[in-house]
Amino acid sequence: MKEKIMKEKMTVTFESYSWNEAFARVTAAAFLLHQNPDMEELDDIRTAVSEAVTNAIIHGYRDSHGMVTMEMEIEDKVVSVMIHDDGCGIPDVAKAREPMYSSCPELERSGMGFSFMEAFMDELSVKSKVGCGTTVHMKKRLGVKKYE
Amino acid sequence: MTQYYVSGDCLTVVLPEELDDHSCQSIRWQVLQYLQEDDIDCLIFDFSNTVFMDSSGIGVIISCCRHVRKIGGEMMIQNESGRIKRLLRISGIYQLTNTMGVLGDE
Repeated sequence: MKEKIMKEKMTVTFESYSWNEAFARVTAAAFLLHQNPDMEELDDIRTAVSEAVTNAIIHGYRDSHGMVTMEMEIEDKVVSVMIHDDGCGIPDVAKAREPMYSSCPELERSGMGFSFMEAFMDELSVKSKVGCGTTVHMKKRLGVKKYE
Repeated sequence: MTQYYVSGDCLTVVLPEELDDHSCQSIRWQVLQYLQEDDIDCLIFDFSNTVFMDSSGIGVIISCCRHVRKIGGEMMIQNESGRIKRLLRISGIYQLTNTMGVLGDE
């Protein structure tokens, strides 16, 4: 009989091109497929990954270019996602997490990226240092019905 | 792929399957072109093909709405699925629009 795997990990590193936003969320969903998550959970994680990776590309690297790393882990139905960039960093994380706040209002962005990550995942933490990049950690437990 | 149809004073934008930062980049620019060059006072976002949207999509819709209102027009949203509807609702976008979805659905 096949051994039951309790913990599983994966890591991908990709270039900060905007088309890789789709690559990241498809990869995240594919990693979780054999856990049989329901569509709602999968959509939540895809959206949260898309937000974090978009932030890394748009805000972390801005007009520069670099690598974005996504690590995922699943253990006992809890999905952990880490998205890291080596970009410019966030000077004031608390400010950046405020709903509707955007560091570049001239781009007419919604400023709802972190709000969406918070809304769709169970936990969110953001570590950032100016000049050194940003790391976003998110967690979500699968199999919990939230939206009835 | 995003499709644009002009009929009279109405511009319909049929949004792509996945509405994210990457696919949004050209939409804002295209809509602004239409608003400047044609006599548009009604902007319709059609979500028939759209299965994924994130906050970048919300950003482009709010921005286009602002531009069409500036010229005295209005924005409508149609054919959005349950998931998209939830995202639009939590973003407060329905307060900016006339919804054309199925009656009693919202």
